[in-house]
Amino acid sequence: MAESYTLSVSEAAEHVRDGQLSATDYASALLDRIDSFEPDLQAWVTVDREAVITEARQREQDRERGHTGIMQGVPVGLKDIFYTVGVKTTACSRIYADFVPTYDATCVARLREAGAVILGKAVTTEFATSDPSPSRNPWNREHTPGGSSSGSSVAVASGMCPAALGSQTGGSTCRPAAYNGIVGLKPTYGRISRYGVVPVSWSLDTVGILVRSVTDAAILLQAMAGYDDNDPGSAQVPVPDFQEEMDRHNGPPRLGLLKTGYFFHRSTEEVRRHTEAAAARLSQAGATVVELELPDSFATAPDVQRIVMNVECAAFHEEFFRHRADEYGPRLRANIEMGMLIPSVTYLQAQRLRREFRRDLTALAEQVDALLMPATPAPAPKDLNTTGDAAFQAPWTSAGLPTVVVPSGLSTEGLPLAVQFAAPPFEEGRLLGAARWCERALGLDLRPPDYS
Amino acid sequence: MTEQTPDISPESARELVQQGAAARWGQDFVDRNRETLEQAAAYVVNIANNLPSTETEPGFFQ
Repeated sequence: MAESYTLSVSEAAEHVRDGQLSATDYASALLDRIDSFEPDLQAWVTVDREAVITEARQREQDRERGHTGIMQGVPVGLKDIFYTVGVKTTACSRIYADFVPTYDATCVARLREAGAVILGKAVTTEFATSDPSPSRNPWNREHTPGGSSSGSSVAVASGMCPAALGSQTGGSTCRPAAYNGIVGLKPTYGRISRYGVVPVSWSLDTVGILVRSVTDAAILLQAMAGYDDNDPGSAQVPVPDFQEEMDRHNGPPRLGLLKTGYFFHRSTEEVRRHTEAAAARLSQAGATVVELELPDSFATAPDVQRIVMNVECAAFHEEFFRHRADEYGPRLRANIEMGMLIPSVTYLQAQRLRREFRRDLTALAEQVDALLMPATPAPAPKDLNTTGDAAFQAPWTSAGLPTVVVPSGLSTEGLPLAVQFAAPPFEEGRLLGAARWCERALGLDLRPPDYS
Repeated sequence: MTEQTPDISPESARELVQQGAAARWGQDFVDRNRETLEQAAAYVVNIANNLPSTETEPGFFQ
């Protein structure tokens, strides 16, 4: 068997289920990696070694009793906005510094039911917004790892865990996935419950998945997807067998390349050329690549997302902010203040524009198996005072469509580059099937040299 | 994009946002946060000038 830190979620779960891999040995090996790399990478807020080993031992006992799940014995990192019973959930903020939830978030409970072991709480930017976190990019520590799911992405990229949860309100899952050379999935809005997740903006917030392969993304989605009465945004739609759905969409896909306008205009020359080369490679492998144009309603999408996010963020923080404004980071504080100043009519008109935009983007995505575009305008910036540019994620988050980011190569500076795929709402099976085909055609397995 | 564009100019949006900020946090805040307020005003103008038309969203006007 390969070194345990290189195992995918599917491989690890299979080895634990058939007894080839002990869940406690596996967890222990990853805890050792955390001990080694944490001083460099600063990916974690809370890791309780004893609790992790106890839970891993429990998974072994479950297996001995014949109870196994699709994530049996697989350690998972959680962005520190997911409630964990009895374990601090700080949102990396001064406001929540001592908050200890009395219950697990629904998605965390579902991961445990599927056999996962909670490895620890990963660093987030403050309240999952835009003031940078201390986490470092394992590909080059002078470059941002992105955010807001910075610790989760860094932990997966450096082999400290095979999977982690993030969240996305603008670009907080798929952007750091791209910057760190891993796979990031933002499911359809409403697909995974946010009950027990510290909110940024309730009509945008989506639980995100950070892993090393598209297949692994499907496994975590399977474990967590489904209606939850406790989340008013939860969608009452059937949950398919995503593996089966992927297998149904296993042939060479029809891809809609978004080459004109927004995505290519905002990209660097290197990213434009790289995305065209990736599309050409997919085409040579058998995919049909057609060029598609964005609808007119796309023009206001970035502003609509900012308005909705800032206003809803201001509403959530209003009470804390009234008394403790000085305890907020400067960017979050400015966003909350802006949210408080946006007229209510503007917020409601922005929501109207979102409906139109969602309808138009869905119609666009229905023309193909998946839309294809660069994942970010440039590789991770050499600037630790920013989390980078979320411009290529925010419109999809605003529309609620599912997206997945897949690594596609390295820049001239040796930093990861990635492509992003999108599909109509609740078509994750089709999206992941197309993305898995492309992942195999691209044939990459990126690992940061200093942490391999 | 719309026949129903409300009459919001960049100047009136700026004034609207600045008045709101001054009332909430005082003139000093307005003077110290020009960039944030300009951005908020730009959002207001962009949204107001790009509303869905009656053809694309007829139900809204019923």
